[in-house]
Amino acid sequence: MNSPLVITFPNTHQALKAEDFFKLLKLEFELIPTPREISAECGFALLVYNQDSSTIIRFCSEKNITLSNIFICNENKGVKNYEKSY
Amino acid sequence: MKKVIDARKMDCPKPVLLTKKALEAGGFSQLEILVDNKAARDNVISFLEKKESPASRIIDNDGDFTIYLDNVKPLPGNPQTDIEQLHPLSGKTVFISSESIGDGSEELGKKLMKAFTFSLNELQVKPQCLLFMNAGVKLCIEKADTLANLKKLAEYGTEILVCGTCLDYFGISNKLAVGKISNMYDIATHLLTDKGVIKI
Repeated sequence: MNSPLVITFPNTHQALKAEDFFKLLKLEFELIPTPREISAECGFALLVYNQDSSTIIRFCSEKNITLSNIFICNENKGVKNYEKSY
Repeated sequence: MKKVIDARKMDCPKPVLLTKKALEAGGFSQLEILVDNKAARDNVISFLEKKESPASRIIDNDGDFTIYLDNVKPLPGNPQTDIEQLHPLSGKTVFISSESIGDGSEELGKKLMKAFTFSLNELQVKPQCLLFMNAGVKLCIEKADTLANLKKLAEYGTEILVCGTCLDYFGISNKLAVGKISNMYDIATHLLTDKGVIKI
């Protein structure tokens, strides 16, 4: 199983647009405040389960959704760490 | 030398704080901690485990507990350790009377509320109590997108009280999925007596 991905966006509207689209696609995900460790431009991010970065990038480009970065979220003993993958 | 801490009749997190203070001060090789409830017992035991000095044995004497620690290792003092780190509930109560946060855009407000409940779980400090009234009760019912976050908080020990009159008004009493049905008296008591109340 893939580690969860945190996707960040340049602005709130892009994040909400992606949220609507991911809902349609029935992806397993949630809208979260962007983790402080990442501190991207926009306050909302999407935490997506069981997907890989390339699929997410493809989905976003299909709908003209601009994303900023994708991070792989790994948890070790309750401490989360975010590794940039895009 | 043996030291005894009598932490009976003390509320959390005092027994843990006394234990920590004694271990930092040192000067004894055995420690006995007396507590009179399970929550205090469990908090002290988990604190000792965290500090890699697990309890040697625990004696239950009719609801009073004695926690024994043989071969005490001195604990280095840490000025940054505070109550929040030791005890995850902050003592603060959050009063939520709407499905969304703030005015201006209901759509944004609902997303903010969801993100808020998510972040409460991410923070080390958890709210002591969440009070839900008016449309806020809709956050606690089946299929609410805040439900999973609130359930996690409840597991963590946050008390969740939901206004029964409000559930009834919206016709969703049978859909409550997290928290306890409560009434105006209980909620008003929390608002007036809790250590800190925040309305969002």
